[in-house]
Amino acid sequence: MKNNSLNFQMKFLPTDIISTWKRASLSSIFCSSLFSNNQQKEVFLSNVIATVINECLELVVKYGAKKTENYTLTCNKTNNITTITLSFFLQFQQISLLKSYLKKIYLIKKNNNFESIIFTKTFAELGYAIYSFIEDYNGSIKIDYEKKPRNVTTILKTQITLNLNSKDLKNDY
Amino acid sequence: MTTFLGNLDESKLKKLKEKVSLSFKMPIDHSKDWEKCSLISNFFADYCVSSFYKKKEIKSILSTIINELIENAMKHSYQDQNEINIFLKNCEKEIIFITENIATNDTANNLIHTLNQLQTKDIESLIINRMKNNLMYNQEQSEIGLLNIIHNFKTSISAKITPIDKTNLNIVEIITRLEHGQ
Amino acid sequence: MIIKTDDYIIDSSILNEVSISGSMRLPSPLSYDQPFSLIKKSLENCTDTLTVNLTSLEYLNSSGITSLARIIIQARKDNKDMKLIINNSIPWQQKTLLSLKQLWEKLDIESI
Repeated sequence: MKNNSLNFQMKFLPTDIISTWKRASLSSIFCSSLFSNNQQKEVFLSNVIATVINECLELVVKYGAKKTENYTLTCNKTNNITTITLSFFLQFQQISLLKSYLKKIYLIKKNNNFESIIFTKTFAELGYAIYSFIEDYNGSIKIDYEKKPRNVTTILKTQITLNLNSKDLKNDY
Repeated sequence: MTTFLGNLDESKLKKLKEKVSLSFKMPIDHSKDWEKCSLISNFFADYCVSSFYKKKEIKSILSTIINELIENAMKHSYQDQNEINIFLKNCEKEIIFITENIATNDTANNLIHTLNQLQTKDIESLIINRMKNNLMYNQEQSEIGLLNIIHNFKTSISAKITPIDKTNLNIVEIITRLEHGQ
Repeated sequence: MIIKTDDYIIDSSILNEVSISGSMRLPSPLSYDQPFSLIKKSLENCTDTLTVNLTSLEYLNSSGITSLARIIIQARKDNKDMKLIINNSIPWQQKTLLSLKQLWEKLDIESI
């Protein structure tokens, strides 16, 4: 393994995080500390990673289906590119909603109509986090699922992939 | 041929690795990433005890056990085949850890020898003898990590050693069980 | 003398006393040579029983235990009195360090 690369995979049970919410924060801080350990100068990146992973864990635990199955979080960093992949289960209906919510956010990024995404019925709590991830950190988000759904309630193995380029991070606080 | 040591067989191990409470997999370079051992151990311990009452005491025990297991896996991993996989299963009355790494035949045979010694010899005297030998021969490794966790925390250890085809390497899985009262 | 890192502190500034605090999980017994040189030095220079206070040492791995055992064997060979003060609320200290008495019956261990 080269010094500037890092990859790890964590499996967890959503029910464990639901029963003890602190575990989401423990996990995100732990993952980010692996980054800062690897790249001591990149404290800022490590802080962003902790925030992003915490939001991811909260999302999959809140909305995920089959909560007694193992979900997987994979992190891969090569040079400046960091990829975080979440594998979990989601109802097709939720996948569609999340995808359209994401489209909406990309759209308001252009119009700066922020209010329209924080009063939606579903995923509203994610609005600011996703917006910030795309706008402030120039990150990209992709949602994939396996198999064709039979109906809206079909539960599908879903993968959310987040990409970050540390060159694009604006550390201007 | 696959070797099972201790109270273990294929179906038991398969069941243990399903729906784990937490698992973590990462390549760890012995020379560069040593400090990650402690980081991972403390995280696993914190994660596990966050729902327990006597957090401080149990965290200390768990972190000590996991740290020894990861150090053991790291020290005995073969060159660049250094991916370590650690699993935690939190059952009603016991906590189970599984570590997985790639090791040479020699290393695997040493493990078999140590676990077989446990059947016939007193652990405390084994530890003391190894400490004395360590000083006498100025050995590089302490070789007491696994023995210490069996002796100090009354854990039981079993193992599976699976040879990898056409190599002198093996997948070594060490299963450590710790009973708890909470 | 004091050795201070992000993880641990070894303080031998008082005659006949050494205290170790924090978390020590170094890669091999060899890597303890440098930080534990303070204990060895204190052992060489001690005018009375050398007291090693471990009550604030949260973690010590098997390599560290082996290195500590080496120092105890050295004290036995040099016929110098040594005392370990251990913390009875830190489980590994209670379990592991008490059995170090087997290396030398004159080793004094006080649990507080």
